[in-house]
Amino acid sequence: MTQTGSVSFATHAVRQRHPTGRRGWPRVANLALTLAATLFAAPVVAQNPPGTVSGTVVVEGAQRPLAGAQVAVEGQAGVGTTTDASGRFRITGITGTSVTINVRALGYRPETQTVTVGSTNVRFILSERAVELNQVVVTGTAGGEQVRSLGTSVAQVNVADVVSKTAIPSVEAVLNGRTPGVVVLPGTGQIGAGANIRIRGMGTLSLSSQPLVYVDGIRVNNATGSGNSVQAFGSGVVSRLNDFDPSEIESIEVLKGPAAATLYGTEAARGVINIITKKGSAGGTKFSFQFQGGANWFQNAEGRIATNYCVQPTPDQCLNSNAEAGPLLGLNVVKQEEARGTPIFRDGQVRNYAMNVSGGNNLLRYFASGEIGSNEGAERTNSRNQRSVRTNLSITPNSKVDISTSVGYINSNTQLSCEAGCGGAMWESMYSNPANLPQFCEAGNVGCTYVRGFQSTPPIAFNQLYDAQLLNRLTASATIQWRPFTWMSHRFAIGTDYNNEGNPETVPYLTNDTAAFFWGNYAKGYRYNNQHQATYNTYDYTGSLNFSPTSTLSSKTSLGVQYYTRHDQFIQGEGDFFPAPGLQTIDAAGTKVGLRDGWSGNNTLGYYAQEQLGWKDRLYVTGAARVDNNSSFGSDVKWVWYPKASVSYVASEDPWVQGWLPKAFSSLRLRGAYGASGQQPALNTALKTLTPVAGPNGQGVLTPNTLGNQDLKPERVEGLELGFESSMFSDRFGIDFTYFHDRSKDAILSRSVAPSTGFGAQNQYFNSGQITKQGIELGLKGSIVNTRDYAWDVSFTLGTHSSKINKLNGVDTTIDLGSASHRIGYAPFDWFSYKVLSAEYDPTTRRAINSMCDNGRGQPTPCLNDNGGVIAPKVFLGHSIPTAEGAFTTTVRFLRNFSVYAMADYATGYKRLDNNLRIRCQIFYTCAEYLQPEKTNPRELVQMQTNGTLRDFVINDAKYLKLREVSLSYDVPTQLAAKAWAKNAGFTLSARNLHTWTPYTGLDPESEFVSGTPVNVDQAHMPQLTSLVLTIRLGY
Amino acid sequence: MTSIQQKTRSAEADARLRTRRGAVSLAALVAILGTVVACNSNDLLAVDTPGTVPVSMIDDPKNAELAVNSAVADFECAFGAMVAVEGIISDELADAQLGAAAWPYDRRDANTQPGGSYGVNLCNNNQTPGIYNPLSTARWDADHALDNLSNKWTDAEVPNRQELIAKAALYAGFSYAALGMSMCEAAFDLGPQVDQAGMFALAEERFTTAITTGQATSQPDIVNAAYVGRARVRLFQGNKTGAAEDAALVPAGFVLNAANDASDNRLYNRLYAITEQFGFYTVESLNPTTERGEVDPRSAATVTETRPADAKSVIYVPNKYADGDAAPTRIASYEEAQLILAEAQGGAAAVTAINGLRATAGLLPYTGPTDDASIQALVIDERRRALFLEGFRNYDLQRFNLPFNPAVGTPFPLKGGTYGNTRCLPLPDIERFNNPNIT
Repeated sequence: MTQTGSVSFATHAVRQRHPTGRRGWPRVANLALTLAATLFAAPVVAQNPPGTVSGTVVVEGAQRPLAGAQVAVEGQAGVGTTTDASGRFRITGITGTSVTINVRALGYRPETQTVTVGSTNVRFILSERAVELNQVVVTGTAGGEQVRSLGTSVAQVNVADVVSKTAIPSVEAVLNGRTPGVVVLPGTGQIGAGANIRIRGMGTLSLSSQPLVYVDGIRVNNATGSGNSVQAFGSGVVSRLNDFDPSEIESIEVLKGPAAATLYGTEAARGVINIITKKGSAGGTKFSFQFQGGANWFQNAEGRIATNYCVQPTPDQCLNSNAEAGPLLGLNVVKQEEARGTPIFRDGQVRNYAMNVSGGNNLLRYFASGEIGSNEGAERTNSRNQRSVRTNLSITPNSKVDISTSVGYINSNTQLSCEAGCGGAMWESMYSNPANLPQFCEAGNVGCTYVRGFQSTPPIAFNQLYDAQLLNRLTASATIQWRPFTWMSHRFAIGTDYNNEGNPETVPYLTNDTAAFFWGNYAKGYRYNNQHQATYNTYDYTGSLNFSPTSTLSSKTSLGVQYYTRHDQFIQGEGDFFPAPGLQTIDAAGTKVGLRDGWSGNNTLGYYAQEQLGWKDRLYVTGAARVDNNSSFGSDVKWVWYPKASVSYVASEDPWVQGWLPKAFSSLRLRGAYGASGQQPALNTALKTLTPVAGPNGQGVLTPNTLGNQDLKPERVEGLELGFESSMFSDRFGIDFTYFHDRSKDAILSRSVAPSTGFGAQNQYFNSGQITKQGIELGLKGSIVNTRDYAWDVSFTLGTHSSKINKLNGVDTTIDLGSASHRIGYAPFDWFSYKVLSAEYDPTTRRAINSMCDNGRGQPTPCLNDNGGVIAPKVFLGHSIPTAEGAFTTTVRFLRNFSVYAMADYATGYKRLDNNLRIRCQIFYTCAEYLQPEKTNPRELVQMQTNGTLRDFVINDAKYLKLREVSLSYDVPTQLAAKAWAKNAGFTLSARNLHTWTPYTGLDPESEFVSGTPVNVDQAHMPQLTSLVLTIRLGY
Repeated sequence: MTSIQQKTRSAEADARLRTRRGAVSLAALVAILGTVVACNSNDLLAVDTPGTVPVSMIDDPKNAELAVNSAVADFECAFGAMVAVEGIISDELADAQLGAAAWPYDRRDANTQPGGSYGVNLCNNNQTPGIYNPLSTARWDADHALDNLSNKWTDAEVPNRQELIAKAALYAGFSYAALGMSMCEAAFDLGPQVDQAGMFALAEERFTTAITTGQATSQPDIVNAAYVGRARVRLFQGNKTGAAEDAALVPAGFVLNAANDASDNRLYNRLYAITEQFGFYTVESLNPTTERGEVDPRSAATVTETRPADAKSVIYVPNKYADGDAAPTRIASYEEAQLILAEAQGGAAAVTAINGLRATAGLLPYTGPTDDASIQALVIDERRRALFLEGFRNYDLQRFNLPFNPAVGTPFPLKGGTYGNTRCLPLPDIERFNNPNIT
């Protein structure tokens, strides 16, 4: 078996290094010395002694060195090595005068050469494979599984490769557009702000769609909405996923559906993201340095921030009313402030410095990295400073034991600006109002003159607000793999992810008169702080037994136990009104309010067993079951179990198939899987509880909290997926196709509680919904040209998904969420609102009248009754969540050392609520369409005149194609790099978010509220910033 | 035996050996896992929930006093929100903020938005206080405690059971009364919807219980408050005689206050918080005068330096609450009892009652006509000023069928839209959609 062969090969390599064959732990005691010796080891021996072959392995085309390739001498068991970071290898102990050498590397076609023993300059050129079936991926079992044996799709992102092509600001940016079916939904374009990750669309009604996140085998904090609510509406924007520095990540693997994630248990129904950090490899010590500098900016702010209007019936007044006709006065505050010399937005600086050192030998490998970064947003109070270090060790004390440790520490300060419902420069600019210009102020109204046409407050007032998250995070794990016999392996992983967040919000004692005016009572300042600690612990044991009942049949039996704990603790308080400038602590404030603390926990215990049978390394049948229990389950719920079955057939290796398979096909694998997974309910939602509150006279009292549900159990998602991978034309083109069909059987529905019960303050959760979700995922990639000087690679991804609610709570057919609804027969969160078909304009009253709405069958019915109340039904207006997403990527290398890379991603099949338009036209009445009713389509005018109850005109198609990443790179020739004493060097000029093609007329088709209802709402968010970054890389 | 056969047998033997080893090892692994399972997994899954307690806590007779005190606290918070919302819907307060979610109150179109804030928001929401939800919680607290005290617990278990019955019944009564004044309909314990008259009848039952048990346990403050409450709801039910009888029993100077406190948002004087403290609302009816042109100190307001949230309004704070978050809010008072008496008796008796209150406030007496229409106008205006921002004005506008001011259809200033016709609030969607007994 190929995998066994790999292990065997490594074993021999270790033994060669330690010919005495000593085994066991004593060697660990010498590790410190070994590490020191390794760090300062002399690099390469100049001449080959007898029985030696040395040379280089490079990649076809660019001829770049290939590290980690396995080089073996055919017919001489145990003789071989792996290439170092420079692609070099040196094999000793060879017998004979001429030998055949095989070179293998994951992702490349193997190569064989017959060489003369003693050769010193053997060169192997390996061509890349579009599809690699021998790659080992993380699936939850000990040591992972080879892709060829899996019945499911596992998406892989080679982060190191991505980072080498373009400047990547975050882990979320790494994931975006690179794997079909994995969508990154940004909350705002502010620097440091996070996104939601959604895999295979929306399959839940009331729970999070966020996948689980693991780093080097341990579960970590996957919160996407931490921090203070600078967007208001209950949403935070700092994502824990973005704490990790992409430059220290080797790869990311994504398990997408319940069939793939079954072994991860009752919280994995939304998928699993496995982050694998970089490890050292045997060879000389290698140092790498990276410097980045550049800028972020709000592209075309003047054109994208709305121009707002008021009507001037007379020159000395300007009204937000269409009662009287008159010329419009327009105001674009971006243009105004530029002219005034006080621009609202800035060009934020980007400064990042990173270095790492790696190397080691067959006993000990190490990787250590450090990064310091400083990034500024377009808002003047938006920035992120981060420092992180990581040390990963891999120890192989003997052929039966592998020990690896992974320790990462992150310290960051993310300062975010108020926006959306919180106010801030975006809100004030987007909803500016020329009626607030100084010439229209009443005499003596100083505040009015300060406003300068902003909505209510000039940005300088918001710039006094310090709203930040200060993070200290330690993620550490240790994994021991023990193979007492060739057919038995055990893995035990233990790890912790400790997050200490300080979330301060401070306004100092203000001395600026303008700012002080707008802070009113709080001009003397205040400080709020929420100190939050979240600790995730993982204890994971898995064991596997491999044996072969016959020469063609293999068996792998795996068992596992996982125990996860999560503990959250917080303490918060607020102090208001400092006695003097300079004081900024809660203790210094005159009034202390809101002191609270608390903690909570959530534990999961699960077991699994899996049996995999393989036939001739090309047909695999797998069956598995997992059982789980969790602290959040209802008291009447004990254990839940999830089955799994899959089959994988590498058809191209079957002689029968080879007989008729066209020659163009290099490989073909068919796969299918069925499996179940779960999504646990939120903490304490099963319990009927009271919560303490402050009562009169300083006494504590209790008030109703949750109504609970003692029958509450996790959502159960059962999924079927079928697919194939194939490579063609000598592995130059690859296709990966998957069809999936998931069904949530016990979808948890959060339902409001009738206040008459006394428990109306909190929702109640039920297992009652049923949702089906299906779609396809398509990944295409090809190497169209690949010569030494020129190359052209392309790739394309497409993920589609359609969801349908089959059942809600057994009673209702619709659960109204405002402009969106859960409705049987439709996708969760689809847009349902009143659809105005027609209206007439009455020039006398300047109002739209006789409005007719869709009656649900496409026929007209009056929208409103005589009192202005809506009497028409809500009808389907479209999906709120994209039904298809993907990306195009291309890389062109020219003149050998130059390359251009570009990625454009897209989303389609959904509509977006343009709340900016709604607020301007239905609330503040500053849009020209409202103010000039005679020029406006009466169908839209009637909506603007109904206080916001009719609003289909703001729910619009938001499909887009965004030129997300463009870069130009130059790899400095080795000879030139050597002049700087470097082994390699390179420059990359990277740009992000350069252009968007979309029919959507709002500010940005992407951003949404991260922690709110997962529908697309656009409201005074900072759009995705454009950036230009120069990266310089040096390797030693 | 050929070498090929030997190799085959050897391979088979190896395979059997590997199978046996695998089976033994598998059994060992299963045994290890079984041992882990055998450990009490409940211990591994147990977590602390220090921020909540099971609801059974208040079903324990040892916690009877805690249950009643909790009902009082929930009512006081809900009452502050109710006074604020009723003030905003009526002509007592005006909106001064950018948050559009709150505008339907002041714009008086909240009745067209049953999914809006009034049904779901909580009592400590300073920007958009809720009304149905917090009052329903307070009602449930009080009724739940009353049911336990009356029907499930004994005097042996709860030594001061009768005193607590009186107190729980009193606050249940005020909760029903407040719901009746603000809501067109309400439901209780997932029951069918009850109209305003029905709510006042339920309130009267509770007040009667409070009076009976309060008298039996010699709690004059409970009894007097219950008299005011029962007089109020009897008046609202048209039982003027009964109302007058109760009101006449309330001694001068009696007052039952909500014990506000600046230490916690739930305890804030909501009227102070939403005006001077946060600048979300301002006083709409500035310094109304008596028919003799005197500014009534009971309803006077003072301009503040608070910056309005909309940067356009001017924030006034009611003088009666200007002392801050700890300023008390009256739940029941001698003044209300006298005004009930005046309304119920009419004529000269009404003038006497009103002039008594005016004298205390330092105002000139009423000397106008005493016909029914004049007295009714006097009572309405006197209630507007004497009970300013105490939760009565909006229901008075409804029950006296007073004209809307500004008129329906008038542009809503500064923020857009036009005034609607809200008086009481309809049963909110949150109850309608989640109560199986509401059709």
